[in-house]
Amino acid sequence: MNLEEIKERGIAGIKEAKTFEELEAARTWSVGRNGVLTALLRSLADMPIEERRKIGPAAGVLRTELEKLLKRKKEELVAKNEGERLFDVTKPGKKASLGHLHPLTRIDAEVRAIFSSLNFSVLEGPEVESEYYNFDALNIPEGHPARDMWDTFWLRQNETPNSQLQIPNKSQFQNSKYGKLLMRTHTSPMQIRYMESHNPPFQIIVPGRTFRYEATDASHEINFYQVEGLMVGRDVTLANFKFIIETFFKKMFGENITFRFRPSYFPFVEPGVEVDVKIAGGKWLEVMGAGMVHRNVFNAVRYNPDEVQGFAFGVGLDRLAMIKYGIPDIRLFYSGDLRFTNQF
Amino acid sequence: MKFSYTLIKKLMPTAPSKHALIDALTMYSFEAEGVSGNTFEVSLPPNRYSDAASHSGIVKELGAIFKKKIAPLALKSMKAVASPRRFSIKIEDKERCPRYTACLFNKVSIKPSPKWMQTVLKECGLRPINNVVDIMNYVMLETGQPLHAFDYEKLSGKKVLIRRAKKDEEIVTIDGGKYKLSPETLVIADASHPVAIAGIKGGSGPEVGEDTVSILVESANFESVGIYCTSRDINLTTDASVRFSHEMDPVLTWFALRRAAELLEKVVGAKVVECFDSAPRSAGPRLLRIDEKKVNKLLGTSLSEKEIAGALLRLGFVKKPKRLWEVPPFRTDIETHEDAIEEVIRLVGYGWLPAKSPHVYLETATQDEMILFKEKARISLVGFGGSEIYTHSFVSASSASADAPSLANPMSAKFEYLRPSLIPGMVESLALNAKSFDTARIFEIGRVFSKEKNAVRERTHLSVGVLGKKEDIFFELKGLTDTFLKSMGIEEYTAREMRKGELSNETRFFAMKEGMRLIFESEEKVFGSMGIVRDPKREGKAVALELELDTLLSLASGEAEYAPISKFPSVMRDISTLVSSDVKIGEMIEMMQKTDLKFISDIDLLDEYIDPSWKGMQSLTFRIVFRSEERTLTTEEVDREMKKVEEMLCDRFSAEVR
Repeated sequence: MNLEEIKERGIAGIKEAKTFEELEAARTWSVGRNGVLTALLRSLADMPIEERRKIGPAAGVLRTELEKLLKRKKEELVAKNEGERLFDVTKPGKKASLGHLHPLTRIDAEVRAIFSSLNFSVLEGPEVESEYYNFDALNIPEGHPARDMWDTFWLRQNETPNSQLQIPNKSQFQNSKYGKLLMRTHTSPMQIRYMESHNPPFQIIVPGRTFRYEATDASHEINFYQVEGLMVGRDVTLANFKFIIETFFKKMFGENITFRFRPSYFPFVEPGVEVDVKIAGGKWLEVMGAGMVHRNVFNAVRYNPDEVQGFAFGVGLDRLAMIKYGIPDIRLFYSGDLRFTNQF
Repeated sequence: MKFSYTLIKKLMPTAPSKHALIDALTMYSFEAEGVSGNTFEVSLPPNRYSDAASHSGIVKELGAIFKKKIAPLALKSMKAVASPRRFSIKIEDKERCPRYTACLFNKVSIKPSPKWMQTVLKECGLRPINNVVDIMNYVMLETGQPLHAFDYEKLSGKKVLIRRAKKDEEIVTIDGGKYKLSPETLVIADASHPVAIAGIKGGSGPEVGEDTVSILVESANFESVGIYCTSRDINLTTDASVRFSHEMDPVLTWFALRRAAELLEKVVGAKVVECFDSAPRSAGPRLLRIDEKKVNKLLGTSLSEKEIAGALLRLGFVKKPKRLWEVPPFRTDIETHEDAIEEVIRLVGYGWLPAKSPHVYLETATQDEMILFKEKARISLVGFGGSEIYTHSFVSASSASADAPSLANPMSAKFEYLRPSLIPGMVESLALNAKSFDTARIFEIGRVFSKEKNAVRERTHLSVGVLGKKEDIFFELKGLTDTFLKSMGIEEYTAREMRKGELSNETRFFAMKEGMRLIFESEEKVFGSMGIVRDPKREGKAVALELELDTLLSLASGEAEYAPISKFPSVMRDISTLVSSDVKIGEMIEMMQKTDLKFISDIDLLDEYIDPSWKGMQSLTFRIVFRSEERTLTTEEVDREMKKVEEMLCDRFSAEVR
């Protein structure tokens, strides 16, 4: 049978089919596994080259065409069949897939939105920091036990992790002014970085990932998120901080949120406070450290501490998310498990 | 630090219940917590050891909070001389030992200490030893000043030398620990060898024992950084070292020595023979100007002068003329007027602090470009059905490229290197999620790190992973990437096959199958890559993509620009070809596009088919869309263009067209 004949009969067979069975028979005859067209295509290899050139592409196109027709006819038959059935509106809807943002992304977006509405600018900083920005400039000198408050991951120096790459510079990762490199233990270094290049008055927040060298458990992770806040001007007071943070908590957790300040110590603020939030069951949970920027910090960035004043705070995003969504274990955030993410 | 409620009650008979005391300390001073029995724990801030690492310090706080007077400790009155006759003391390193006081006692008889003293020691977690040693510890608990008693008879040369250790000098401590000392270590030595590691622990030589009859009691002050570093270096932390590490007031030394003398006399029956003091003249009172305006300006309060003075007086500040206040003894933490202001507000109570809206000049509040770019990417990816994950910033050696920075003190080998790519975390997540999902789209945005000369370079990357059953998901992700890039403002880019050996040192390719990797570039900058994940530990398939967001941000065009909607219809033509199967489809499409840059608006692959019997041939059907912005294209015009395409395909790819 030649190509023309196959085409004619093939198309006719499809067009005339009235049932699924007839259509299937037409398919089997032409493009089925033992169909005539399939056989022809298979025999191409044995034909002389001239012939193959001529018939090959044409046979391919016919195959596509027949398949298209088969598909269309099948749809026609399906439509016809369904038309005879009742349109059943109670049938389940088709599943639509929806993506999910990580809960920390949601919290971060909310925090940024709230502070933006309070005229705070938002910026980010490096996760690998120098000793100078993470400690010294924040009034936490070397050899001071206050440094023990931050368990620190230090970067390896002078040593290359892989013999393939030899870096001869002995002072790698070491800079005389800025000291050794570390994973920032808080977002506070950005206070220094920002003030070094800006003049007050200003108000900023800095969200970002931070690191602590500590054993992990339900409430501790080696990496977690913080938001730093800093507002400096001529007369920015601790009472102003209370207003800002009250507004923040109310927008984040609702009007009925209860919080309290109690005395605390951070070398880069004076006075220093801890902010606790009352959670379900009447328990107090500390979520934030804050205070008035220490004069030594202003000195480090060459501000006159007798002319400017302001507040700084650091809040744990993970903890906010845990309170807001009732998440019991901080490690879930970093599990990479969609059974977790897809709940949000 | 552990405290004994029994001792608190003894020093302050009016003290409230343990529970009330803990609450009050937490709200007005520092965090406190109840432990079993009469013990409670206080988290002392590092700047409060000088005055509050003691029961009398805590009692002073309580007195200030509850407005109660506290009776002072009974002290023995005695005099110190600069050169005692029965012993000699020489300080070689005055910087590391600002003050050294000592007192010689005789008529000592060693016995167990009285029950009441033992109770207090036990409540604070200390083991009673004998009356002399227990008094040393008891006075430390009362005053915060660590003391040490040497057996006078066993002190070689009756000499005390405060000096640096010699090279390779060793000491065996009272509890039998052996320590090799370095010239960085400050020691207390007699005429022959070290008898104590200064400020940390006594040695086993001249220690007090059952036969001791006379003792030399040391009450000294050591410089904090020196003790802190030594304690860390030799890995020995003691009650004494913790206190000295936090900068104690030198005034405490003589005060505590007098208190010890009082108890040694009352409890042991010992008699003072002679006392020494290296720096008897104190620095004089420290004065601070505290004025009401400054207090209220910093706090935003309207406290009256009387309220402020009330708080300061309760804490033991002494009022002097001209708004000057004398700082109470031992309060080394109060140096500036802000320090004093903190004392005022915490005693008044933070509950009284008003909340006041700040007055500011409005300025535009901005957000970093990258923050907004990341947000845009997330919204777009969630629109594609992507779910977001966060993974750790650290990876193991097997996932670290040569330029990955590493940690000097990793938690474990699993987290030794700073991640140079998000792909290892993504691959791990794909394997994990494959257990629960047949198909999934996952993404992460985060920082990655690499070493560069003297610094660590930090970049923001995006990774996307797709799980599925068929190899099709490669093209699913490739198509997704195209739409995503357009949504991010990347109009012009190429996706090409990765060349052999190219970028092969990069972590992200460790987990990808060879020959199945794609490179994305724009303006000759590589900004991303994707590939099929090797062994996702399951049936089915996984593909992963990584994009450098910093580069994308620099390439992204700003605003979308309107182009007129074409009024003229487009014309579609299909073309079927039979070509050798090593011809790259991407190349064919690119070349077809190039034959007519004017009218071809899109080319898509409609169908591909390979019959096993064809021996190296593939059948490909393309759909070409022609469109003009100016007019309706005629059939002849399109035919002409199609002809050009056909000829090109024949010439260039030896294609058979029908």
